[in-house]
Amino acid sequence: MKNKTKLAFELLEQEMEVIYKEDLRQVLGGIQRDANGNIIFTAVEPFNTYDYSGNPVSMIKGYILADDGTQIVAYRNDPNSPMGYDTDCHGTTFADGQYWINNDQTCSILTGDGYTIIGESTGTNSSVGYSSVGYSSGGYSSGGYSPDGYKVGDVVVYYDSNGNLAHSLTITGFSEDGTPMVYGQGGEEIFNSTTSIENGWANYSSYQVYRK
Amino acid sequence: MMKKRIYLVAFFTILTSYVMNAQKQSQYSIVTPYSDIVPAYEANINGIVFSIAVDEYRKKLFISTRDTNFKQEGKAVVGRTLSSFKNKADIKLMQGWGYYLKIDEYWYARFDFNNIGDDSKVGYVFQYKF
Repeated sequence: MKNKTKLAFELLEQEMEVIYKEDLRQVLGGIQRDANGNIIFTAVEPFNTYDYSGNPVSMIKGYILADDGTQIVAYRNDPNSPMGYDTDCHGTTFADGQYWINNDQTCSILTGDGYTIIGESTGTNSSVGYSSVGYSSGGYSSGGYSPDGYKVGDVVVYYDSNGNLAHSLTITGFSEDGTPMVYGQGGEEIFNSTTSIENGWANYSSYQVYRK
Repeated sequence: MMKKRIYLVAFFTILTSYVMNAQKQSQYSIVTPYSDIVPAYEANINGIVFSIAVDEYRKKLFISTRDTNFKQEGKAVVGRTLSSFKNKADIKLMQGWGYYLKIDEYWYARFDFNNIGDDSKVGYVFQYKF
């Protein structure tokens, strides 16, 4: 009897662990992860670059995997290198802020992780900066969706005037009037910040909103 | 026999050094204005060391130098303050990369993206078709 109870508990624990991992994966989004939810990174070679002042930055070039197995080139910063190289906008949006991911690789993530376009804008924003504006995460509420149909967790991808992918941020809430608020950073910035979707980047010509 | 061994050791030492240097060359990279990390190569042209890189995604060249031998009207550009440029008000921001100012028909001066002000100094000059 004791053995049967023990076995039942063990089976239950195993089942809960599976459920836990699946939940964890859903919360963390795409990109393949290990059993603990950490992104699987395969190192390929040491890689060096230089910061604005000409100081060397040591990185490891390698790859992470999209859900469909596509290799996504990513760079992992050395702990002793400047923090600005820990991640960029795409690394923050798609890879937990742990890797630097180039623009062309982000196209592969969107495809490989099965993102679909749910909205877009063609408004320009050549003069707006990136400072945070008034923001209330609990401001607007309509079943968790904005008037445009966007919801928390949707990804906003910004394009330059030539239609090239240039920036990405994540919707994390809505302002009082329902404007989606986006979170993340750009390039060598160290700190993440939140701003409205229209002010998401200083240099975009259009944006698209993706959902996984 | 001894002489031959010394020659062999010297040969492999030089070969190893060459291969290691070649690897260093291929691993050298820079960050483009759109924050892409791309391979770069150095070239010495008329005594000025330039970094030449290709932004493959956008099919554009990115040429830069932080060499103080790069001069404009006889003055070094790298290290100059923003206030020394007549058109300083035209400075633009590429978010996450840096502030930049067009200094002539071909060249831009790049400043940091933090705390821009009159005392901000040129980190390097570059060419890139935005």
